[in-house]
Amino acid sequence: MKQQVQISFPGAQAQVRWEAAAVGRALRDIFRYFGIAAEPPGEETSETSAARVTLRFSSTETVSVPQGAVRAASFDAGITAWRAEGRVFLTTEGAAAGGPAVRLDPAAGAGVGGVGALFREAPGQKRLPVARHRELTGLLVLSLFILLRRHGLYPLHAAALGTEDGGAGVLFIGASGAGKSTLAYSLVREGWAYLSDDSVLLRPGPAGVEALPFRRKFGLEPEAAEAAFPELASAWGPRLTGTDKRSLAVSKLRPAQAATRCLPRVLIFPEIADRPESELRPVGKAEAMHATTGQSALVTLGPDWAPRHLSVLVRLIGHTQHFRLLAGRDLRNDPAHVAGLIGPLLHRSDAHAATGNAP
Amino acid sequence: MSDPQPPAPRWVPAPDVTYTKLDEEEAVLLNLETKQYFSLNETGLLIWERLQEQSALADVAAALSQSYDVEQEAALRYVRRFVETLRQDGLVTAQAPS
Repeated sequence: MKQQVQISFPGAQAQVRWEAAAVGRALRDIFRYFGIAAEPPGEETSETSAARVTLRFSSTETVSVPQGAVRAASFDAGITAWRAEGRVFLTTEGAAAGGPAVRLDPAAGAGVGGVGALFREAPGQKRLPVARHRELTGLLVLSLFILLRRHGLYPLHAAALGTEDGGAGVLFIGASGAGKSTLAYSLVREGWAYLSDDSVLLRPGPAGVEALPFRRKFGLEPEAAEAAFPELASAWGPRLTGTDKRSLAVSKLRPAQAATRCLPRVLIFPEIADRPESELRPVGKAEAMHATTGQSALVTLGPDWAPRHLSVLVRLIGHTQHFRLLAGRDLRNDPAHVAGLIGPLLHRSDAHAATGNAP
Repeated sequence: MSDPQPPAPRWVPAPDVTYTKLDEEEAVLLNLETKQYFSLNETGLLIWERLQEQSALADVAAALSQSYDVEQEAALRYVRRFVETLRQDGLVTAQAPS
């Protein structure tokens, strides 16, 4: 029996299909944990079918990486990307035949995953072991990111917040552990509109490069988070990814603040610093471009997409101010302080945008 | 009479290198194979764009000499050093003269 869901983005749709119930359960767990809005498929029109990417997961089919494939990139959860024959292959166990793998045809907007091996470890159990769930998550998310580029949507590892839905925004760009989620939630508490604490999609448009949410739920470490935000004590969702983080449905805590898009005006590159007071240091375009490219893993996937992807990042850099945030103990002691640091930047950048002057 | 010198190779951007211009004064190079990232200042940007046009090093030096009002010989020494750095980082390859 075939099952499928549809995930809608501005200008594109992703259809995810599976046949085995166990695969469907695992995929739905991932959608729920990350707050990815996966709905039953709607009525098909020529418009929706033209803008759709499809991803099918099979527990019986095998996907093999062809001989001579070029190793293109490495990602979290031990996932490797390979290029061959105009396609992209994602594997979790190198190129070993029979291991879980996905074959993607970016030009066609379609992919097939052979994931049966993930479910063989614990065949009778209702839930996948955490490590296998992490691998399936990586395969699913990377596959969607690679296919969605065809429709002008480019992933970025960043938290995104704004003054209001559709308004000016700030992106916190950095690797895991840089403090993005904590900074993001601090701003949410101060009334800011939020898109995501971890993953956004960049979409170039007439006004600039917009940020759109990819995953809606935040991921925070409960013990550290509750010390700063005691109201979260009863708000946690499940732990899934094999880390100390748990899912947080901010949309239930602050439903009126959920945003669908923002136009970034400020990029912040946070790092946790051993100092009493935090500092914002302006950074130049080249440094901002380097730091942003570093959190756009798909850029190095191949020479066919790199120029387009990089041009989107250049455009983003062009209409934003850029700062490194050395996050000191003052922010850990009083997270509300971040709003005082970041807020004036956004209002200043809005004034520059209104007059047409570069910041 | 000594044997004639073979023509010098032209240095051109390596195939796995992506060039992205940020503005008239800055650009970045990304080596897709090594994942290494390099910044170019205004001078480096001028040299790189001439290399993209498959200019001989003497012609690159002439452009530099004109833009920055420096002696041709000094510009040529600078260009040779810069291209050697690019070569060591895998950013340019030698193209046999036609």
